[in-house]
Amino acid sequence: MKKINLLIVILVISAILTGCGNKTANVSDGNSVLIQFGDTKITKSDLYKEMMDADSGASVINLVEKYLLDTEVETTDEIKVEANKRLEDIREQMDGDLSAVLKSYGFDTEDELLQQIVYAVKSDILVDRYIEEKIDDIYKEYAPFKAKIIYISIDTTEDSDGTLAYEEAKKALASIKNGESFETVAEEYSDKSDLAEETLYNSNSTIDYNVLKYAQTVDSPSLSEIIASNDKKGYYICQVTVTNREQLKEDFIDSLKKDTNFTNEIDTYYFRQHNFTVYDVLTESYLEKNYPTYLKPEVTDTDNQAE
Amino acid sequence: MKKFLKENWFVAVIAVFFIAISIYYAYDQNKDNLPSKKIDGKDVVVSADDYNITADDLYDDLYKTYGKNKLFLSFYKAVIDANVETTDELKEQINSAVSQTVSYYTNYYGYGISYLNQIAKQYYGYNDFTDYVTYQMKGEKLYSKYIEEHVDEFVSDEFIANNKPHVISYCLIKMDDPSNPTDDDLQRLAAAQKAYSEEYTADTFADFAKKYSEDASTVESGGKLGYVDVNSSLVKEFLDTALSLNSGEVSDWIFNEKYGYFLIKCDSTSFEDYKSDANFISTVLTSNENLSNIIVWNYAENAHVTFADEDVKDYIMSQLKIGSED
Repeated sequence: MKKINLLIVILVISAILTGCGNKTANVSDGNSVLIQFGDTKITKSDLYKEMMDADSGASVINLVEKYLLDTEVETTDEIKVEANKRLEDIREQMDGDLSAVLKSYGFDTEDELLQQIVYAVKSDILVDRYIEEKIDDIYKEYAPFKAKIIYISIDTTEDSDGTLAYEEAKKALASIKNGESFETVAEEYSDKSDLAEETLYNSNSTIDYNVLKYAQTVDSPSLSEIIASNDKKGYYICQVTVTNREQLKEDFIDSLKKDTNFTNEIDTYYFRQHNFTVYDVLTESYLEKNYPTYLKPEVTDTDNQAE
Repeated sequence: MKKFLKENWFVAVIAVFFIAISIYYAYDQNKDNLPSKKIDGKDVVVSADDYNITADDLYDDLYKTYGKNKLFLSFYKAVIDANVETTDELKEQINSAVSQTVSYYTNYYGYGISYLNQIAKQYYGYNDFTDYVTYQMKGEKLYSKYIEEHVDEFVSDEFIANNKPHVISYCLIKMDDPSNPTDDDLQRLAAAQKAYSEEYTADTFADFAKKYSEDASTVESGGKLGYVDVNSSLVKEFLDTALSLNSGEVSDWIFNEKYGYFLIKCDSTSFEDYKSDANFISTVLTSNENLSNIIVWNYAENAHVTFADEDVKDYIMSQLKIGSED
């Protein structure tokens, strides 16, 4: 009998241990009834689950972002002045009536809108700070440059081996080397005239791999030889116009700020720095689906160097 | 202890082995689990440094954006659920409706279920598209139930005279250019006309339509169109003919310059036969201002609905467009 009792105790303890699962964070008075009719009750817990599902993790991210901005950037008088200026700009754009703007944000008062703008100003400051602190790593990762490009496509029906297209590319290249302007030559030969405009590129740009490879190996303005496209459907001529970091800086940083992947990277960096931790399985599932980079991403070389 | 172990060494070995396996299994199952945290007895959802967001904090924040809308939708769904059972038959109908809609959107627009889920969630507040369809169909049953309980009020002599409600079936011989029929068109029409006059009657109209009708949307159901009234969006010749028929009557062959030739049957003019039809329900709801909301409120009130606070009640009533005196 004692042996059986002992085994039962072992089994129960084992079951308890294996049964330990992930935690769901519940509201304190979840059973309090908001609406009831007959046997049907809508409780605070019911409403909480519905709201969480509709929100899908956005509010959690937003609340933590505000904490981080308040922690990282002090609300100075300059920030308040800038925020008020932006508010007045919005007011002018809306012909003095901010009601539509307030409604779109779900705000009742202008003060709430102003506070939101303060956070926007702080966010800009934090982005600038991040870029300043990590500029070397950013340049290394993105390797920006400016270039003009001519593209000559291969007509697969009449020029299956690309010989004719290659000859055209040779003529185009010769013209440029003889002193004709790149734009003029592009107008005559290129099948994608918009590429002839000087454009800022970086490692994440949508550009032919072979052209990118060439452009990122030169360290001064250069004219390429004929480059076969990576998909073997044409030929490129690339004139790298700017490689100097200082000359690129303003446009490059502007482009980064418009890149949501980059700004998201900054956000997750600060989340990581402040030890963002999730305790609720429901929230974790929403973040995994909609904000996966916020969930303890792996430490990168950039983080290691910064720390 | 030594004596115990000596006498029960085999049990002890088994027990140790089992405990070790259990501990390892428990560790393996839980190693990726989240830690739990409480602050002042409240569950924490997330934290950053010493900043903790509890479930209560999150509830208050979410309520500002979603609270009232979600509460209303929860109320609406709960009233329907309390009064309309989700039978297996209804589940099949829901699944079928979802499949058909997804198929339509995929074929014509290239949008799949993800798009419909997004629309249902973002614009209507439902969990997904299936949830939306479920409550549309259950809602119709709720309205049908109420209308049936108040049939004298809604299906009055005046309603019948003004709307001419009919349940209709039809057979279509389809032609690309009915005004210039091909030989094949004329042969098919002749065959159908001969068959109906010699082999079928009004009672076997469904069998006839299943065999001869060329309208893919109704052929499988024996040509059944369902509820039709003066407001139905149908071609004039069809509608005028359909509404002129008495229960059980079949029309002559009707020519329409766009579609071809129709043979129309009035299955019934009885309320019992159209009371659950979505088009009939739609007609009644459209004809009676705010009726759908009044129906929802009626069932809630009959079940002695109570609210946690006046603010919630006022919001629900305002969404239902019902005065506080109702």
